[in-house]
Amino acid sequence: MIKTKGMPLRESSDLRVRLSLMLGVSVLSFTLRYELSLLILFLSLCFWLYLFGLKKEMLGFLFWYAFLWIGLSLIRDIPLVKKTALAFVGVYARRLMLPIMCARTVMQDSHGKFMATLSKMKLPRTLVLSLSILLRFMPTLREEFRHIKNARKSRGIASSVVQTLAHPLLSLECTLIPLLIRTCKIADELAASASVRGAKIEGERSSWYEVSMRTKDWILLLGCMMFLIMLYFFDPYLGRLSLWLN
Amino acid sequence: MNSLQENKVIGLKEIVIVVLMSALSIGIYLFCAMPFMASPKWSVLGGYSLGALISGPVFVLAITKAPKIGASFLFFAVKGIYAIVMGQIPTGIVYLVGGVLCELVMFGMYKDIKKATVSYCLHSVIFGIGSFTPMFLAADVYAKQMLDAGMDQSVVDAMVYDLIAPSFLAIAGALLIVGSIMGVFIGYKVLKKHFRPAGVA
Repeated sequence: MIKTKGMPLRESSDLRVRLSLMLGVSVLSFTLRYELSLLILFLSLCFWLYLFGLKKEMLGFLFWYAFLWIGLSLIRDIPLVKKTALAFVGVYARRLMLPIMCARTVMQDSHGKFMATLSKMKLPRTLVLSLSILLRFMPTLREEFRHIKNARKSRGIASSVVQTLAHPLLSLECTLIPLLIRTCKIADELAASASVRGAKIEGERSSWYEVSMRTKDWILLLGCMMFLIMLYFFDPYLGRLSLWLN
Repeated sequence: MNSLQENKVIGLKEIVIVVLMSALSIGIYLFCAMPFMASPKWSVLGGYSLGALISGPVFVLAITKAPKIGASFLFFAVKGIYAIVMGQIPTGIVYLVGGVLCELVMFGMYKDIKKATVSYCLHSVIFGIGSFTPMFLAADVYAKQMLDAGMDQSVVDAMVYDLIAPSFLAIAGALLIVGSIMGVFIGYKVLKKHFRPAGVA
């Protein structure tokens, strides 16, 4: 039996609880109609991030939400702002931010545990394998791009923004082709590595990580879902309340 | 799985190459959309069209290296998985359905340039326009919130309803198709010039 008392939420909660919350928030992010309801959901998710020890991320989301809401409401009467898409971006981005906040907590598990949970959910192996490769390759891609940029600079090709804009096709060719060739090489190495680790085996696979929904997880899941359902049903009342407060 | 099926259906090595190419394509689209992010209309007209053009060689290399059942679906499905992981579940579902359609277009003819072009055009159109799935699902909610924020009805119409208007979708679709056709054309040229001599494809 694994003792979870006193462990931070990120280590003690099951991934499936966080995935369910992400699904619920994703639906609510475009069904809630009133500003006050959105604000309650946003603040609750800030608290959720805090519980996961993601204080830096929480402050980042708080800053952007405040910037997009308060900042834009301060400058909304300026004709240029009225005529441009800034107000729209403010509204759209704030709604998109909500499921992304949940996604941050989903990505907290170690890679192995994440994969073990997805396998436990009986998802197709191709999907689990694709996700595993995707999550591992994204940082590698950034690193490869940086190397190619340095190599380009050392040869005096597209070494500045002005040069890049002056020779866009050359810059593109000198970036894209090496990136594609490197990607092919990495793919060969990854395929060999996955093959050695038994990715081709058809039968049941075991995992180092124990994946199970404990009582605590069920309570957490129930609490989160109750909160989201209540928020959905109280949305019109919260709208009226915000009108009354105005 | 018998050996005949194994030869026709995408295997481990092909899965890895297609997933990596799709990840690269996501990076290209994000990079291209960045300068146009202030305007949703221009992010489709400019960002996604440019992304379709630059991502063309990536798609061509992916299907050349993995000309098997599932390659075209996986190239699009990875984008759907990425959207779902990022919390954009409705958009992710649209991309997965788009992947099935792209696969149906190419089914069994993975070396046919015309089929590849049609499949990639479909991919680009669904990827570009599908990125606004929440807008299609809840345009009124966004419009109401913008009106509450003090915007004029004319501005709201221009930002929300014009984005899902058939006329805009037709223009965006046409631009995405042009970008995709050029992308695939450049892709095959690049394949001949760089990848075949280097022994990569």
